[in-house]
Amino acid sequence: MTLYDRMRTPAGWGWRIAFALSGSLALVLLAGIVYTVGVGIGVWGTNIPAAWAFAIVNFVFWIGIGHAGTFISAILLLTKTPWRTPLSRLAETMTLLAVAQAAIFPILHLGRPWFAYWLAPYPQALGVWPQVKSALPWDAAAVATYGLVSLMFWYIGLLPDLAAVRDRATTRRRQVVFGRLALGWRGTTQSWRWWKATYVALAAIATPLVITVHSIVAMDFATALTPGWHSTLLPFLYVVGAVFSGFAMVLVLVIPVRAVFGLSDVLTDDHLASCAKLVLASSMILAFSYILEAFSEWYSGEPAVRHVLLSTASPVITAIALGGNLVLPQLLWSRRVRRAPWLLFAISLVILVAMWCERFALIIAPLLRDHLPAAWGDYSPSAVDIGILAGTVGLFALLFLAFLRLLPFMPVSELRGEEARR
Amino acid sequence: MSVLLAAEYATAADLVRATTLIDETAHEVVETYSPHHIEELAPPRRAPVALLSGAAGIGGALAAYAGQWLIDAYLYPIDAGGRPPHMPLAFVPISIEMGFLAAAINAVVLWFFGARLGTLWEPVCDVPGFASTGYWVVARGTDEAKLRSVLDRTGALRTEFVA
Repeated sequence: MTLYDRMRTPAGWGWRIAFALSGSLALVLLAGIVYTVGVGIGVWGTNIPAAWAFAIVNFVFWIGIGHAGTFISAILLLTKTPWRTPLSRLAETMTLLAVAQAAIFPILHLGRPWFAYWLAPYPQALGVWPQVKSALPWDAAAVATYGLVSLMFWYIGLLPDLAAVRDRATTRRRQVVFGRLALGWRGTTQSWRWWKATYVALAAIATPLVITVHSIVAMDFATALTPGWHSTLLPFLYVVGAVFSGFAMVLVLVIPVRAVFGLSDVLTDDHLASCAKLVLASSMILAFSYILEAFSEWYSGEPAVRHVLLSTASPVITAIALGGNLVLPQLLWSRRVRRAPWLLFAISLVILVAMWCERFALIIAPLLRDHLPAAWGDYSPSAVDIGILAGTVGLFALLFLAFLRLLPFMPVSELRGEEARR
Repeated sequence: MSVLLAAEYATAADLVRATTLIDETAHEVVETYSPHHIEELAPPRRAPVALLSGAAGIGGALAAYAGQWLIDAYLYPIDAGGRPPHMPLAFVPISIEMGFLAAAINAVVLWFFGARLGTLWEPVCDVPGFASTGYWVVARGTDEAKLRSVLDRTGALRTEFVA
């Protein structure tokens, strides 16, 4: 049985139940969006001083998740890391889906999302142009670039496998659909030469994007005068956290896929262990950046900054963030833990929750404790906020499950190439 | 009058060996097809993607900078927090991102035309059993029987008439 046949395993009850559950959550998202657009963002818990609340926390969280896909596909490709290949397609798809979830939030947060196109300098007669000295157009440029480059990178990698599916298709509909998607790819030497050159060039382009995109997102905060945000260390902290959470998400997605499709001979324990080592390494760098951040805030001597350092939006959330991001990953020093897939899955799930909590603590606490005590306030999310967050989780899962059924989720051509070279 | 025949091989190594043998018999290898990149088959000349994309990236970044100057310093110079209309540091993030985007789009466009994509059919598609998942060579000769015999000697799993 070839890898293509194994990927076409009929959908079982487990898949259908997961699809129904994630579809239901996606409907919650739809309802949340319709309600928000219809009534206005007053239905969120957002207030003054917490004007950048749940939506921006979720935006930063999802953008961060997307980073590991590019890291695995681009950076590990350029460094010729051997364990990258089987994970790459799933990780790239995760990136695309995560960026799509992230894009929902700033658009809704505009308040009037139907004017989102005003962020682009489109030809118009009004003479009112976007204000590019604001961080909002920076975000739009960064996220759009990241999404488009990731899409192109994903599609180029996918193309030879789309052609293979076309050639193996037994129904007219699949032949036509995959024939169109494969763009006439036949695997000539000339096309492979161009494919290789373009794939490497796109990897080289995508690599700095891993750093710039989340740095620009972090600059939204760093350029503000809010205590706790106004720091040159923030981009570093955000990028490290992004890669850390992205690797955790890769493990959360890959481990069930491997089990359901019986791919433990392709996605081996070694692959998972390598990924776990990167989770551990990025956790250590994250710990270092926390210490650095805390020290520089204390060393600044500014009362407001020191106060923010000691205050928390919620002690429980801060405890989860520190425990999940710094303490729990220490288990990954153990070789036995790194080679226990379902334990890795559980650890990664907790890390994801902890990273969301970290984003919450980093974004909300400084807003609530600004320079002027008279401007201090409190924040709690509304049911609509929570529904939209849960809905994006549902939509992410729904699209991922659909991807597993519709497209080749393993890079078979690359795997065959590696096998032939061995 | 020339004839084109297609032959399928079991492995990448067989395909590489066959192309060498076909060349040695004074027949022409018109095209080779494989399910993955084979370094030995690729001509030594590298595709100029990286160089041209780099140039496109620099061009894209400069164009983005100029565009930002045009809209915020020239066409619509509003005073936002006392910042100067032309503010180089604030124009950098979008310029960098647009540079990357231009380079990536350029790479993909070059690839589309360089790899001759978009042609959904060519004569080899009608060869029985032809698929992009196999190792194939299409060779040209003047005598079909002689060419077929050469391909058989190269270890072809099967040989089919193309045109």
